[in-house]
Amino acid sequence: MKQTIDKIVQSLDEKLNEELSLNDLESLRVEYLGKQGLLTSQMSLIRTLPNEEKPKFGQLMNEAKQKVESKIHHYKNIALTRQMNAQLEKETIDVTLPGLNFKQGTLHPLTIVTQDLEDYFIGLGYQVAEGPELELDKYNFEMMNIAKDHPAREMHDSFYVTTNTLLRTHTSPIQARYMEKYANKPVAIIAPGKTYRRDPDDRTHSHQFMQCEGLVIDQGVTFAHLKDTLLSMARHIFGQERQIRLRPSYFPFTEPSVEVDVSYTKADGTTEWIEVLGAGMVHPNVLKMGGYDPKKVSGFAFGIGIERIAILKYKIDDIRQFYTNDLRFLNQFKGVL
Amino acid sequence: MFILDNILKQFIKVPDNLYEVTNQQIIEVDSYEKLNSSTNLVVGLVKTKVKHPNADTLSLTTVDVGDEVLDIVCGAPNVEVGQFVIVAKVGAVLPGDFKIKSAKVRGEVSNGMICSLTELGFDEKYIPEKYKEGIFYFESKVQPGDDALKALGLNGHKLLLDLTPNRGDLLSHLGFAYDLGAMLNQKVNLPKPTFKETTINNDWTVDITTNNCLKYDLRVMDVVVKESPWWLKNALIQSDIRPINNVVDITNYILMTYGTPLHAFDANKVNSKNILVRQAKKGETVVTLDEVKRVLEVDDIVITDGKNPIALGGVMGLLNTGVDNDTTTILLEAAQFNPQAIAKTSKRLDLRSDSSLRFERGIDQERVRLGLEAATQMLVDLADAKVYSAIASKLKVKEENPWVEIELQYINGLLGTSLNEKELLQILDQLNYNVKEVSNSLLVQAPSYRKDILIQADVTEEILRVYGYHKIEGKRLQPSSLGQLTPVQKNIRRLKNTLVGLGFNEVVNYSLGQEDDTSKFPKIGKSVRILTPLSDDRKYLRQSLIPGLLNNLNYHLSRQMQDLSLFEIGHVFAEGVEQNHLAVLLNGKYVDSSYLKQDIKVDFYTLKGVLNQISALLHVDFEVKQTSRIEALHPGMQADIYVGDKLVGIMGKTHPLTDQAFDIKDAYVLELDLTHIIDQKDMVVFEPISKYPSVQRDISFIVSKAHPVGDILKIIYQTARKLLTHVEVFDVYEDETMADGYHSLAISMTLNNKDKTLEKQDVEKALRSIQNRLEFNFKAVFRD
Repeated sequence: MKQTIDKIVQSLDEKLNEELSLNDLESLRVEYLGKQGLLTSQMSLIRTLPNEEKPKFGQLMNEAKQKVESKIHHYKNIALTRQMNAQLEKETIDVTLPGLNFKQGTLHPLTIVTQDLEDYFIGLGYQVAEGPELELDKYNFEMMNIAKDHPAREMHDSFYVTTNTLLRTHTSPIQARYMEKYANKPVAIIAPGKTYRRDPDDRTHSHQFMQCEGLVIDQGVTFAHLKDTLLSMARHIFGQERQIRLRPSYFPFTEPSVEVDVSYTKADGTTEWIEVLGAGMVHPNVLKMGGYDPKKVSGFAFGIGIERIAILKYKIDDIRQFYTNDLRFLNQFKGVL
Repeated sequence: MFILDNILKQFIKVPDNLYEVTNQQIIEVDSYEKLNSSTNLVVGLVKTKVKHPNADTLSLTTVDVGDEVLDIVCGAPNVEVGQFVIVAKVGAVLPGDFKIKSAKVRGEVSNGMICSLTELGFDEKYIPEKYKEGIFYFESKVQPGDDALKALGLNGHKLLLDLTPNRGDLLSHLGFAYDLGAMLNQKVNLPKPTFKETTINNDWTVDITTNNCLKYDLRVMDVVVKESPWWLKNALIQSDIRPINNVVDITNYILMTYGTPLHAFDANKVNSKNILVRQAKKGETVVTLDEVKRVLEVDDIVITDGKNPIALGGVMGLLNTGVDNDTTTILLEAAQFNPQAIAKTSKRLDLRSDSSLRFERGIDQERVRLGLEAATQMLVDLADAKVYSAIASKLKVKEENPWVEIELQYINGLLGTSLNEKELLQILDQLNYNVKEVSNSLLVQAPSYRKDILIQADVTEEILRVYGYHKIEGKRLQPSSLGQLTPVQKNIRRLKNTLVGLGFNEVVNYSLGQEDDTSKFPKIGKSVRILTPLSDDRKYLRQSLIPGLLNNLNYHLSRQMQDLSLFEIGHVFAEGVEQNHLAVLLNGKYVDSSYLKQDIKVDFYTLKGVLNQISALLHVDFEVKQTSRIEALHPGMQADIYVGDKLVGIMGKTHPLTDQAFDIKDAYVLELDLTHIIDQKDMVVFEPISKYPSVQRDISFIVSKAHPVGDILKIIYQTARKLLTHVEVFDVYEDETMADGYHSLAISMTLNNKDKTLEKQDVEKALRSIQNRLEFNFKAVFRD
């Protein structure tokens, strides 16, 4: 009996192979396990057996059925995988075709430079101050120690809109406003913003440009602090290998005043200097007008041109590029830190 | 200001590192260069001259250059035997990289070149008539073989100083020498005059009736007016001053050497022997040396002969007493005037001279006499002057620099140095300061030529210059504040970053534009105009950012670039108003998917999508209301943007006439006043996520298009506020089955109750009340 069943089960092996389709396999299952199946039909023999052998025979039959099921299942899986793979192959695409054009915008390079300076100084404990661009003479000039007949006003050919209102010629009036507002409290601010001077536009001049002002007032602020601040800033902007050189200069709102040169290495390996910004210790008159006692506190201030930084950093050839806003210019600043 | 080392060296030993010391301790140097770049030039004596056998206009010359005699072919018509000329020897390089080689000219050997002034790089305007069409020759004997540049006074270097307004003292070589001396710890040498006065007495008198003239000195002398020697002419030319005659040239030379403005009158043209300096009378008229008639004001200062003006004090001499070639006796004036008074007059008359510039910056009272005597010495040497004895002089106001109290502690405190008193005194001595100690404090007085040292901080800067900026040791500062951006500043950054993420390019446009640009766009007030604009297209301050963006679009469209997404954040202005605005512009395709064929072409609703992004970002609810009030926009595709009752912006498609005016097409713009919407702090309070499932239901109905969909949505929200979590329009269509002016809306709603599972009857109830409201308010006809 057992031999007959084993033979039937074994006979399946000869019929199975990996090439069979799902349909073939289903037919085989019916052939063996269907109502009239080769294996199923053996079940009728149970009636011919004595009662005590019936359970054993039943067990034998179940095991045989499971074997058949399992074998067919195995090959069905193979067929399924083959079918899926065929489908996937049909779905294959050319991954080298271009992707969807999501637009990637850009921050304006002047914004990039400004934010970089802001972040740098925020890290040092500074706050970012702002002020109006249409400014009173009082803040733009007088509180910066530039009286009406002061010769330094010649350096500021200005866009006046009334006799005492003008487009600010520098970001320094933000200093004046800040001092007035926070009189007698310590100050550490930078103040970036647009500024205007009556210069015809050309490669190196723009009637509108951006500056960033820095102002620190506190007890015991010295020129040595200013020097370190300038050196660290220059290195942050242009690279850690840079040096600075200070030279005498004149601004009515600082005394002493300095011009700041930053070093660069020329192609032939020699060191050259390029003028980058102006700075100085806050003039006692400016402190007084801002509500501070120059006997008790001191301060330093500096002012740097945002375009100047961008021009040096990115080697831009013409200041008008910033205000032409050509996409071929703007799009070069994607992904700039 | 030009500093010539040739002139400087009479006062001080010029260091090899003149440029570095000047640039790093005195004042910024714009340029430092040789007076003349020519090399290998010598004085030559023309020995013979014959006509070139093969060329009519050429001569064959032999020229003695000291150690040899050269054959030179010369093309100049004015070359003659016996002339002392300038020879560029073989190997010489003239300005413009012109190299002199041995050559054959039409078959004749030429070993060098006799030079014209043009070939030496002289500006045409400085070349005297007789040298214009040929070579230059010296008027007096010069040693053949000598360095020709030296003979011309063109050896050496010059510095061009970039003077700041505070350093009037550097407007002379002597003043520069004093500062250089301070930096190098060298004393300045002042040449002493050696001339002798004649026995003729200077019997002129001087009176001053105005405090605007502080001092007045007058010398009288007989002179011979003639041409100046070339070293003097070249000293002037190098300083961009035109040589005229010896008398005028000497006054100009003294001006740049000593900083003393001088004026020479023709004594025979002055009608009295009494000089009176006074304020001008209103309406008094004079004719200045430049032959212009001037009407004076009471603020002007005049030098008179007791009655009539003979000079406009400190500004310019008058034609009636000017020196000319027939002058035999001069009155030489050296004076000091009030800087503000001179500034006022020269500004009003637009008459700025080298003299007025120095008076405006303030001259040293001591230099009045010093310059006068140095000039007199030169006149004796170069104009055969016979100097009358005595100087007519008046001192009206004695000038003295203030005494400034200084404290070592303050100086060290400001500079971060640790100077001791001895070092401090040493530096002050180098700077020629007067120092006195008064009961424990130090009083210092700057030398008379430094009028800008008024307070302790001024003295501190001087000390720093001498001490050296490079010696200051940097020290890290620890501000007492904490660094952070304000919420507004943070929001501006988030806004910019979001827009960049959405594909927008940030632009920065000019704040100044032409009036036409703003007239049809939303205004924020009365236009602000620049009083003295640079040009008509930069005359008005912008009231809107949109025209700038439209110009940007025009720029790109005219260069075959489209599909722009631009934004700008910047200030707009009106009388008494300054606001920070945001504007965006969309054009063409927002997404260009090319072969994928899933383009997003920009329309009003794309723009509105951007507004939604801004709304979410800034936590503000915008309400968009149909309008047609803005002339520059399409009357049917424009909207006002409100936050509550406040109008905060506009959006829309540009009007065809705007498109014509800007030569653009297909532009959608939006502008928002950020003033009240950017200051939102992050106010999120966590809301527990509902544990109960949401239910989604759709409704659809036909309604008149006269009812804006926005109003309908608002009512839906109002009606079922408690349960609605999301409402979305998923279909809008119309067809011929509907009455004219009607359309069908399909709206999907998501409902949820945070407290319990939504029962079917709750949902039905909500839907029913929505339907009732829509039927009642809008006559909506629902579909079954």
